[in-house]
Amino acid sequence: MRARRGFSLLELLWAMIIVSLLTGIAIPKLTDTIRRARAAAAVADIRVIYDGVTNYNAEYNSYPATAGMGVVPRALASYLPNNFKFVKTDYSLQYNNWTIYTYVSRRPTMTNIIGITIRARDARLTRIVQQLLATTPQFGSGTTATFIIIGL
Amino acid sequence: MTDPEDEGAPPPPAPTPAPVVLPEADNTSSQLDRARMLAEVMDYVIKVSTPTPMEIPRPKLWVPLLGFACMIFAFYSWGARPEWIWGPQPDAAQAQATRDAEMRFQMFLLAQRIFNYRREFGAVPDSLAQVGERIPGVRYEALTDTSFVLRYERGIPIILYSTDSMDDFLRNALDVVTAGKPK
Repeated sequence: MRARRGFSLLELLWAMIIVSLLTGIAIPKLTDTIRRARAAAAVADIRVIYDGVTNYNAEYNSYPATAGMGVVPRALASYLPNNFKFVKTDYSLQYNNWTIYTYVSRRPTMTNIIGITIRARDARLTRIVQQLLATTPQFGSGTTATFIIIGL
Repeated sequence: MTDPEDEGAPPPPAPTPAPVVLPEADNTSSQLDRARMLAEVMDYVIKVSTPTPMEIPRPKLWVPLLGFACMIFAFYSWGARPEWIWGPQPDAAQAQATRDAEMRFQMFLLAQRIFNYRREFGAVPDSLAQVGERIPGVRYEALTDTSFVLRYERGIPIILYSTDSMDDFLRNALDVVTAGKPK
């Protein structure tokens, strides 16, 4: 029997259908699922920091000072899990402490605002984190968002 | 008439039948039959052993149509990026009003950093690098030793003077920020 060369039209059409479905639905869905898993990890990190800050406040009745992006505040380090890092593969975190000096009548007792800023490589990751923490006071857009964990 | 002495003697044996000899014509017919049968068998063998051309199945109409539809769908998916496939798009629905309120709140927080610096050093900083915080698009200017102005000039301008009432400056910013994000 003669050896077959190439593909039949039918085979090519089926390959086209499968590739179209993969590129149209499966790949975006897969990347979105991966992104959601990473966003869930970021939310868990923010909750860990929140727990550390409240424990610190319970002991000292104050809050650690602001640290740079990706830097673990020295005062907070012992209130976080061992080897907890503010720099992750897909995003970095920043701890912020704003002391309020001006009077705002709608928040007369506002003295400190504590926020966690996330800066992700992918703006969609930041967006999903914002959705997962939808009830938390927050601002920001694009790759960066800040979540107010204490003070508002 | 029969001889009396012959009475009681066994009867003479019956004559042996002559051997059957097939006529010449029959022999010839049998050979022809055999030849015909052999020819039929040979014909059949030749017919069976001859390679028949392979029939290529023609694709049914719905297969190329489905392929075309899938391709159109793939182009649509990558072009329009529908949310049900790709998930939420960044900044897709963030209204101008929300951005304005969030910017006001960020500028308010930046102003607090500058007040903190003034409280610590007795004068406002020369640049935002000294307070270690900046907001993209926001310009800082020291007006006197104790006063400053923050200007955001992308889109609708927002200006914060250090002497302004923060209640007036913030407007509804606290409500917007506290409300979080719609799911």
